Amino acid sequence: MSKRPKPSDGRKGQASIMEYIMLTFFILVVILGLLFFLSWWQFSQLGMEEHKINTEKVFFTARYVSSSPYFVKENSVFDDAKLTAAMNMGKNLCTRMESVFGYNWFIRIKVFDGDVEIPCSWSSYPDCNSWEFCTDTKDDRKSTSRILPVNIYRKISEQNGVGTMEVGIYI
Amino acid sequence: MISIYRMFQIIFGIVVSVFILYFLIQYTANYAGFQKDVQKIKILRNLKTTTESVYTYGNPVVFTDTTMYDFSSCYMSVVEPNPPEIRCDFSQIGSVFIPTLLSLGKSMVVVDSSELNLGWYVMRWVVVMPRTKIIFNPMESSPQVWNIMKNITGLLPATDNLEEKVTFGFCDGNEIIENICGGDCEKYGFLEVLETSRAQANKCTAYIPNGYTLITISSQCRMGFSESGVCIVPPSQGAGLAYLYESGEEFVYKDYFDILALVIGGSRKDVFGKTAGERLYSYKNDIWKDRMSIAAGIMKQRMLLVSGRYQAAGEYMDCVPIYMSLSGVLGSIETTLKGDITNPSVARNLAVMLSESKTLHSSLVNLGCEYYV
Amino acid sequence: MILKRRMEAISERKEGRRSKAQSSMILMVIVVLIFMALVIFLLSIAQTVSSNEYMNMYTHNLLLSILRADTGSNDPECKYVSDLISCSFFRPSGYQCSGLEMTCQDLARTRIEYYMSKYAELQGSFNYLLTVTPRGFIARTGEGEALKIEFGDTTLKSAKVQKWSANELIQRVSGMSEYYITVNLIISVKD
Repeated sequence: MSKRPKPSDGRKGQASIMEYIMLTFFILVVILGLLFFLSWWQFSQLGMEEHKINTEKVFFTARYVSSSPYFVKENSVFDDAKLTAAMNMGKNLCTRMESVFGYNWFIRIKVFDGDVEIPCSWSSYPDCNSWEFCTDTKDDRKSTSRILPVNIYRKISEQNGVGTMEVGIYI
Repeated sequence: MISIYRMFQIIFGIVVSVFILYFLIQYTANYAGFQKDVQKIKILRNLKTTTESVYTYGNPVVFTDTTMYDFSSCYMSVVEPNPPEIRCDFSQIGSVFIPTLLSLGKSMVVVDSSELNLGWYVMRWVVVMPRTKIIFNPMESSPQVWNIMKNITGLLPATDNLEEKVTFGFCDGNEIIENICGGDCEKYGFLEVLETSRAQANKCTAYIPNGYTLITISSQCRMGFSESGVCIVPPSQGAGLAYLYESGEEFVYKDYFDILALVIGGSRKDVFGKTAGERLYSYKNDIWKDRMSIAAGIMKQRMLLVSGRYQAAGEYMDCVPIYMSLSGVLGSIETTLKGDITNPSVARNLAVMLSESKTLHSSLVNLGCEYYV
Repeated sequence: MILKRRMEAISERKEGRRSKAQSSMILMVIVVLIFMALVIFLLSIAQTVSSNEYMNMYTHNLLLSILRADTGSNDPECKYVSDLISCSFFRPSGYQCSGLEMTCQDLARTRIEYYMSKYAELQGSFNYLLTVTPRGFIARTGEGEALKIEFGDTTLKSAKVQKWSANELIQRVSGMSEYYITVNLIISVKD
């Protein structure tokens, strides 16, 4: 004669199934959590890598520009006459310089002479104190840049001024 | 029957192990055999960083990572409008902005910088080459031939304090003469030898082993004359011709970096039958043309700007006409550079104008109006 | 009695299982926390490496720019700030730069303070210490003490803050002899 199942056996069975369901649910949550974490990790790695590449580009451009005979008298000593002559060549120079310095770079050079900032041009030279190359007029364009101290050799007065160079990359 | 708790432990353990393995595989992938190409690209990127450092700071170094794999398929390339790159059969590294004359194999390389100085502009090049013995065969003893040897030697790396060596010697007929400095002759030792002695040699018929590069200098040079290396005809009016063994081309040189490109590139042929020297010469002229054109343009404007200001202020009036002449010459250089600079008559014209610009700039420096870059 | 013992045994087993489960949960939480800490640590290191390189470059450029700056004087002893520093060391303490009526050391201090304040306006305030020491020889004051010149915050050398430094050599030829003095700049960001 077979044993009749007791009511408590049914409750035990339900509890056992519930345990399996909860276990499965928990495992799924853990796996999903780890997948999200890994995706976020990959994403942040890419972001870090991009930031690292952009920063390296900025440093490379800073070193390369501040030793380029197109602009300097000696390492980190810019020649104001060369800067003004280069600016006079306009946007065309940026296009030509892509093969020398790359794309999407810009520089701004200013002299500390206590005066109001006067952009240099053929007419304002030598009574001017700032230069800009390859800057974008759009305010909302994202960029990463660094400012470094430099000297600017004033050709006409034959004096070394002190100032800054801001080197950046548009991203 | 396995308990729920036990099953949970097993599954959780598997999930955590997969998580850990994922990171391990990602970071060790670079060192596994099947990721060789990834490693090669990393090595080339490190080489690129090294060239940037040598270019900026000027201190020669030996780069050792290139012993791990064979990089002999790599060469410098510039295809407009893309920036210059290092191209290999497995991949390429782009944005190589430092002008580089490069020859790689499966060995350490010396990385050093040299410059072409025109007074108003200095163009620096980075030289990347393996251990090499440069063997000169001067078939004439004229000052011009000796000048060629001194200039080529002057541009090659000084390896006195480095593990990899670039050494020099002569070839006379069937004999290679190497121990002229009381041992292997390095750059400065060889330059001293060139200063103190001069004698012509017979055409080199000696066997030239691997790792040796023969440079023959003779007005008899023509295609097929030399059975190895580079054959240089002494220049006339600032430019001359050179021939590279295994290459069916005639190469025009207007400065010694043209010759250096042929020497460093060498006669090794690619699958298309083009020699590495020819490719490097082509790269060198593309880069040189581009940068010289920008330099001439900026300096032309600068000369006009400064002379105008001096004239207005009544200062340095002796310099004003020289500034105007120099500005004119730079303008002509800029225009000439738009043509084919590998054409002999264009190259001669350019060489004459570059020499004139250098002389005018020197006059400005002597008058105290300018400085040497 | 037997039933009581059986009940106790069951309850102990249940307790055992519960504490095993609890300790596993705690272990899992610890493992997850360790991973998160590792990630945060790696991220913070990456930022430090890049900012260190920039600050080192900045410090080096700052020192060079200041040393190469013109002072406005045509006196060969006083043309550049590096000349002023050299003059402070090698010339008698009373030596005055022609046209400016200031001693080399005073003029050097004025110029250095001016340039540092200009850079601080742009980049945010920083503390600096510029020290000048002889290399390979000893210089003495009139009272016989070893000569050492310092500009800026002298407490910075021993301060326990993050610092960046740069060195340059200034050469001086006197008669047939060459002398070198080392100029060292230390900067730290102000809180």
